[in-house]
Amino acid sequence: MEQGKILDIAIKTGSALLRYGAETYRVEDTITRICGSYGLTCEAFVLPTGIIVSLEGENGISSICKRISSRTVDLARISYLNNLSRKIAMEAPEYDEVMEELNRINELNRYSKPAIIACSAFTAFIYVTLFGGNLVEALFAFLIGIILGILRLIFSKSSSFPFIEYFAGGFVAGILSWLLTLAAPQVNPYIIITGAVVNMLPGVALTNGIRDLLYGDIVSGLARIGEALMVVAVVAAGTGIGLTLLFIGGPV
Amino acid sequence: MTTLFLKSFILAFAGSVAPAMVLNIEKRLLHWAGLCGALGYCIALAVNPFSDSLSVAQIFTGTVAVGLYSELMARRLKSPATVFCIPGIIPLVPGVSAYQTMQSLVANNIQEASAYAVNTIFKAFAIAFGIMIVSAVFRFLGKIRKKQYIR
Repeated sequence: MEQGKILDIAIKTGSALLRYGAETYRVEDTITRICGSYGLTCEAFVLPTGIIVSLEGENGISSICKRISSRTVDLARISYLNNLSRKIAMEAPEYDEVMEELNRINELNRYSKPAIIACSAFTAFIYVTLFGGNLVEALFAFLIGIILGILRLIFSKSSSFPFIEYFAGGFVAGILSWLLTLAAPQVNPYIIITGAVVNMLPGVALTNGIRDLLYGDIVSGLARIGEALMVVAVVAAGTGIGLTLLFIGGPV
Repeated sequence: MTTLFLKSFILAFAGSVAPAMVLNIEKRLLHWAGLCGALGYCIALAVNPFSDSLSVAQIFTGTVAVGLYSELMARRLKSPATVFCIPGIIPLVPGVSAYQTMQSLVANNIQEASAYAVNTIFKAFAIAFGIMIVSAVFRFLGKIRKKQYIR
């Protein structure tokens, strides 16, 4: 196979893995193994925001740089891509076959939108119960969860500023929970907020960041931890601002 | 006691399955991810069933259980360990200390807020280190056995 095609397979698989939330070491490992399975040595440098691969073959050295602008978490796609890269490493299939498989993975369906919104609301309901809230608080969190789920779907389509989604979510959770306590004064707004924002907490980014640090990818690890801390700060700022705006007229 | 564990098991199971669906997990792995979260939470609870909120030691024990389960299931079900441990750690997220932090911040009680914030951060790191230790051990074992496939 031509050197350019091998490079293309490696960078497409690697960037898809990175975009769907795999750890840095897994992406580097995958790229190195893919090139190795076609009998070429390569060096891959992976950051959370981009990939640089340089390949040494009979046509000299070729390299490619790919920028990754947005990262989500998609467990199904990580799993399929992992199986694909294992297949490439073992069987070294033809270029067209790999591209077909990559396209198939990219076009996989997610769960339907109502299902995702329902899950986000259900998560809020469960966590309020788990944190010791009563049924009324859990139902309020369910309502806020529905709104946050819809907000997330709107913002995930048009993400010009990556953290706005989290700020808006925290802000809405803060204001709505306080308004709901006006309707039912015995509920605790903080427990509703905490349950409702569980979906937005960056558990994945934080654990991936610390894993990256462990495996020696210092730069990516720190970048991911920085991203996680930023998300926490933005969510907290959103809720805090939402709540304090209601305190302007004096404590309620 | 049994009802407490049963209730926690069901809540933690649902509490891992629902976020896992938001993160688009494969349908065939959905109940395995739920089991991961339920197991981790119940083991964390078993360390000290009478505490109001999970302590750092409890969270660490629970996360190690989640990590072990994920690494073993990753081999059994041919899927990366991340797929199980990301939904699995969600029930252990220090939500209660996070909301105590927020509550004291809004009440302008900075001293109390900083104490709760340190507690929250410490718990978050306990989660990360629990996962890290297990995956480090498995990676080390994998290197010894020189397996040629990617996990």
